[in-house]
Amino acid sequence: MAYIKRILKFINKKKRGRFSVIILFTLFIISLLAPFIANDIPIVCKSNNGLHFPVVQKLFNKTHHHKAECNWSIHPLIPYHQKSLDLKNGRFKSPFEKQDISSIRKRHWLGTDALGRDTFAGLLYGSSIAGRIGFFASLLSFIIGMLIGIISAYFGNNKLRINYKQLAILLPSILVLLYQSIYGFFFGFANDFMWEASVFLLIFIMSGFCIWKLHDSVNSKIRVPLDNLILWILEVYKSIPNIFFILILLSLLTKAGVINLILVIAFVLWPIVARYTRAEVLKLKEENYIKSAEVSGIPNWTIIVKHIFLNAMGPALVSFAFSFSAAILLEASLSFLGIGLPVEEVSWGSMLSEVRNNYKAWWLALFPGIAIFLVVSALNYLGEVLGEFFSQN
Amino acid sequence: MLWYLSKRILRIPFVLLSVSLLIFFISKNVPQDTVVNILQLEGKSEAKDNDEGFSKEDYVQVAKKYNYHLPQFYFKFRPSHYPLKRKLFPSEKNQEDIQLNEKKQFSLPAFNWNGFNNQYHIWVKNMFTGNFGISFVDGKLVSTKIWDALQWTLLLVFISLFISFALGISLGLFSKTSDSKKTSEALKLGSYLLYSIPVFWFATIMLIFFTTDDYGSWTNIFPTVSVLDPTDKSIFGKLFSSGKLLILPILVTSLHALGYISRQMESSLSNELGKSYARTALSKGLSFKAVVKKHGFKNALLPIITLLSSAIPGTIAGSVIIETVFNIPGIGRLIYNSILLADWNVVFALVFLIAGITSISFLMSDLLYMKTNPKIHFDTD
Repeated sequence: MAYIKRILKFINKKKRGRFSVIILFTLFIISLLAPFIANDIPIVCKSNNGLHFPVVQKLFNKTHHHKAECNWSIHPLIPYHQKSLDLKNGRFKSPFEKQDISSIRKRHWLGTDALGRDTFAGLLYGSSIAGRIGFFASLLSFIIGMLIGIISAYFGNNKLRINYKQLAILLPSILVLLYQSIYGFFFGFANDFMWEASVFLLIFIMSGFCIWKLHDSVNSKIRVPLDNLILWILEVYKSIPNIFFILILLSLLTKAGVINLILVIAFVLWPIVARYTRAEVLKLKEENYIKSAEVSGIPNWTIIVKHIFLNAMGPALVSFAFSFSAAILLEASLSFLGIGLPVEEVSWGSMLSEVRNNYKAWWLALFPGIAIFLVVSALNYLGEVLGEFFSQN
Repeated sequence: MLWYLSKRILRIPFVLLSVSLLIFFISKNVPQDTVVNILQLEGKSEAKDNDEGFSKEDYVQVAKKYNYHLPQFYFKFRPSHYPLKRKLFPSEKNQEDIQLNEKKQFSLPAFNWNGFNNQYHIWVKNMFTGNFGISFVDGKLVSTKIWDALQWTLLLVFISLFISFALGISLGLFSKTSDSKKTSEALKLGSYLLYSIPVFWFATIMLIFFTTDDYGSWTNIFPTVSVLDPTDKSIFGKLFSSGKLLILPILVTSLHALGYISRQMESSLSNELGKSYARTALSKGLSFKAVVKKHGFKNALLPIITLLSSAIPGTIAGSVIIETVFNIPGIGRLIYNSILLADWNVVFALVFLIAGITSISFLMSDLLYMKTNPKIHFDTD
């Protein structure tokens, strides 16, 4: 707790850090409150039956009362949902243009797109989608990357040793597991679930038993070159540029969706975290307290969980910030290219891509672009400030 | 060093092999059916034999012609009650799937060795002999299609990299050596902004505001985007016929890279000038500019040289966006379109090409680093 306080204090001292935290916090609040700021149904509605909260009810998927029944109502600041079509003001209405509206409250302050969707509402809802995809994708890649980075750096090429019996069980089971997970992921799960599940269970039990027995094998003969193996995977990742890799992976999916996109982005981004964590743990390994823990016979997994993981966690946060911004940028460029998210979902990138249908609609390019730019640079700043903090300590 | 070098070079084929395995497995599991694409290309998909719009004979014939009837890989694990040879025709295969799905039973895994007559083996063999096959979208040879696209991308990448490195290094140098603090601060901020602005946004903004005179007569600087002239076959012919249209994409790409390079140059130079040899030179009475010119500059260039080789794959990756926005028929747009249309022959060859370029670039960067800085030893690796 005290550690977190020190980090926050450090960020607060730096001008860049304060700036980025303020921006990120504002966007977080906006993304949470988006349905209350921009919506086509009232927040509070007084009808003959009493008070209703249509926005809240709609959030929880309940049917809301019709607008006509309200005696009085409080409407959100912007009377448009991101998906609500204003056909009277369709075909790219500019912010300064004369708009076909009943009152000034109904004006599209930042213009509309081809279908008459409000740009401002889209911006607000877009922040929630960018935040969701960015956060969960980078969280997932953080978990995977940290795990792999720690294992690769701590065990190196020599430390993990097994004996011939274990190899005889472990090697085929890992091979089958790998094949099953690759093959079954693409082909099988739906077709023959029972078979997949039983094989998986068997393999998990077998390899779990081996790992449980691993610390007994002090005099084991065979060294497992974990570090080389992981470095090889990282090199394969490095040789295909991220955007191509994502495009290829996305072609596997039959259905576009937010969760699929999160999984794919996380699958591509984890090497960022893994490389960073690996470098950190390699430094940590030279510290005296780790060495003395090793000498005093504390098992590897205890050292990893108790010392390495907690100490590498802080520096790895830096790569979390960078992968967060990379994920947002990737999502935006994918929606800009027109793939990844389902068509009805409005994100900053998809708003930007509409400009390609009409090059005169500058407002559709300017505002979402500013939003992306602000988030990405705030995250990068935050990462840099965190990096400074951890390099000083 | 020789040992390190040979190890490093030997790693490249293994990486490429893994890439080929990865792409092959992905391509075999995409929802689109390549055989249907070929049928449409050959004009055989009109026959009204079933719902799909093609006859079974045609489908099987095409599948056999392109080796789709062979097993996919050297070996296969399957539940032992599964048939070894699955049905080929889509509707029959679906039916078989349903039948197998009904029999929910536990069965042991069965291993099967398929031998060398499999799809992966044949494909790799063809790649080695230079036979990349044909594109399933328009029937052209993959190699000609890629060569046409590659010329555009090479033009874009090399011209913009040249500009960005030449300008970036001098800007970084200028911002460090300039006497007024304000200029250097402004240059720093400018390069930071250029680097952190997303490329697709930058490109779109330039396209919107600087290709028309809607926003004042002076904003009509660049020509509007139009379809590039495909008749010229040679690189220089392309440059002459549509050089005007390439100005804006080159500008956008090079400005983006320029920001990063000038930032790196600046920080590398200040890093060098903080070292004791520079301080010694300063205290000997040499002027600041002389120290920069004689000592700092050469040493500061080292990390920049290695940036060059990693910038090549980066710019090629960025070309997806740039080429889509500016309508250039280069590699980035080709790979994007081919993936969308499941034209896997083209995708394979392109990914292979890009992975090769990337691996060789990183190797080059290591070599350059070793060549320029004899202190570096990689032997401990």
